[in-house]
Amino acid sequence: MSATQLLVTADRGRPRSRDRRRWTLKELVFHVIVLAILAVILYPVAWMLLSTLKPSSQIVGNAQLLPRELTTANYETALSGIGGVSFWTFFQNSTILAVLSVIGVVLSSALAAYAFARIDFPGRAAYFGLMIGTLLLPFHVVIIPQYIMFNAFGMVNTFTPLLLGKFLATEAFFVFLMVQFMRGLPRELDEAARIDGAGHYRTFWSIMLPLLKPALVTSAIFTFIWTWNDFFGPLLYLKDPDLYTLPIALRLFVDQSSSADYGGQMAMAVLALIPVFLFFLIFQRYLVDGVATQGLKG
Amino acid sequence: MTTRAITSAARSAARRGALTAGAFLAVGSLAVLTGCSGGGAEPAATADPDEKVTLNFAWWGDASRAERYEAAIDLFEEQNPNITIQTSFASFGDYWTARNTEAASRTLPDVFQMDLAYLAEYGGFGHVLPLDEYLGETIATDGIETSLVEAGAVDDQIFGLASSSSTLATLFNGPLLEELGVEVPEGQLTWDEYDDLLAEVSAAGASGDPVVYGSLDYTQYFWLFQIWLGQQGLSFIEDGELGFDQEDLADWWSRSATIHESSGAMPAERQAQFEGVDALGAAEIASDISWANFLPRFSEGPAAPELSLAMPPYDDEDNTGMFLKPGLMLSIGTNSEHPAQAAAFIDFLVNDPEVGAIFGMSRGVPASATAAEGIEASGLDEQILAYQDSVADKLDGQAPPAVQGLGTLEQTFVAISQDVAYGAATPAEAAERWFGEAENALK
Repeated sequence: MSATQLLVTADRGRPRSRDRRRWTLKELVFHVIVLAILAVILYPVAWMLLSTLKPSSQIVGNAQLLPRELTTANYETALSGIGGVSFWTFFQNSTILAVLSVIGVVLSSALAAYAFARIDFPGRAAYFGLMIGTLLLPFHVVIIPQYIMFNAFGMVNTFTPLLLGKFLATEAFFVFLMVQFMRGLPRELDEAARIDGAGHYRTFWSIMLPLLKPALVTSAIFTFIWTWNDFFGPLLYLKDPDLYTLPIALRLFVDQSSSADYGGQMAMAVLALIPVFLFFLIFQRYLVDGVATQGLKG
Repeated sequence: MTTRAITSAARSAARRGALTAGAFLAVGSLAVLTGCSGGGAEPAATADPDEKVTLNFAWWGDASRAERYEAAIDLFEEQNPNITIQTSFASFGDYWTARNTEAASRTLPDVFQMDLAYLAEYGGFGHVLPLDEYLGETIATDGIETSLVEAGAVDDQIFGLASSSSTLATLFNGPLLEELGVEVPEGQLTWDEYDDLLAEVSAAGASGDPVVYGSLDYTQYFWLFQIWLGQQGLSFIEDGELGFDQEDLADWWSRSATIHESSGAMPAERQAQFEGVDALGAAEIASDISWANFLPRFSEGPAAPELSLAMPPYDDEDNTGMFLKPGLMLSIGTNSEHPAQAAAFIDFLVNDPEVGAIFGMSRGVPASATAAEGIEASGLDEQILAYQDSVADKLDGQAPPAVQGLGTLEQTFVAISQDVAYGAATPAEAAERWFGEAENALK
């Protein structure tokens, strides 16, 4: 029962107090259940946050939330880095990769999507099918050929293999997303631009790109989060510890062949989470926009 | 939204399956690659001392190992100004994912840390160089136990040299036993005596907070099983096949039922909560059977227990089944352009007394006597060395030869033994399942 209905029924002169009691009870139960679910879902996060303040030995095998003794030693370990490489180097590498990936994916996917959505070139349907096909191709199939190729180019142990594809619109998922979005934009806009003398580039830059903003932001957010968290690519292509990204550094804290430093790992995980969290916080309303404007009118 | 969900699910699945798939692919594509990669130039046995060379070196391990290796490399570069070592490291699982990919594209590091479990794959497929021509020449072997050198053999060629070794030991937390009023065992225990002791500890420790148990379920220890097999006059691998049958394995796992029934072993549920932390170090168990060189790790646990080392149980003094397990091994990638320098680097890491001093016991007991000389053993290190010395003349067992699939055998052994510990499978069922898996792995 919604609030407006409540007001209406109240105005009809029904005993107000009875209604209010029923409302409270129903809402109360609802809220209690929702809060209970929330607590269950947030518990691991809270546990992780508070665990970073516990001494390493009290973390595992202990589900207790509040630390018995507070310590900042874990953050000191995390910030001091691993094997002579500082935390900030890992952080910087992750940032470079994530930012360049976002730029690459947004630029290249938008261009490719424009071609698929608006230009009628020969074999378009076949190419589009192929592009969708790459989405279905298991990642493992391409690892080794790709590695051999990049190795022959002498690009292993640089960021290039991790970025090149992003600038060449190989992220089929985002191309697909943008194509679908552009198909929803009225063709009349392009035609009006063409009558005014705009070519493809002008139409793309001045008409399509601004309208594409919600899709661009969605792609940017996902690219940032995926690249920031990507583990396998950096593991294969980056050899020099000075080039390692945060996810690889995180794994170095837990090595099963010797004792694991869970405290340091937790602290670093929290530090690594902050940028993603902030990024999400800032851009989340665009994310909602992106969904809401799917049925955009002309 | 669905596509997005599917993609991200696929991504995480990709990561999980990466190791296995990587290994799979590496082996698969290699079969193709080895066919056309003959005719490589014979490596020069001696190095040109004036040549400027960069060697890639990779290892797995934690931050402290990284620091130790870096310190050792600084020393090496000082002594060999023309050689630069480019390092790379990762945790164990990730390390092998990366190596498998490199193996498939023939871009392995010049020198890299090798594990017995992977030796047969890498040696058998020609990923790593046979070290025979360097052994005794560039790489001194006088200080290394012969059996330990031979442990790196695949088909009569040595493909990896152990820089350290380890032996199993029974660890007792003496003060805790006394506190519980249980007599600290003097002299050697038989298996049944050990089981009785565990039950006694658990009975005494049941009312404590935290509850103290005798030990963990030792039937899950793959290497201990091998020692037990040795004591029965059997061997784990015989001529490339399993040297024992299902009943032997079922016998071994039936000990699990015994120690769980008597509550001598910590319940599997509680043990699962200790992933990454040692129950022995937390003083929630009074005894465990583990590698002797893990002593510092247990002693530095939350409860800082005072531990003593004894030999694992046996019933017959002349048949202990004990052997030296090769620890961290070092291998040279076949694609290395500077194998002679790589061999010199291995010699340095294995034999140099200063490297011995840098690592102490952290990589196991040094394989080489010359490296061991560098260690000023004190405290725990001394205890480990003393133990290893005391068992030296009782080593009558044999380390398993490097066979393809050894890593899988170990993994499935541990996984299936969990089912026994949880009571989800009887020892006989579990043994049957393991044999099924083992036959596939050894094919």
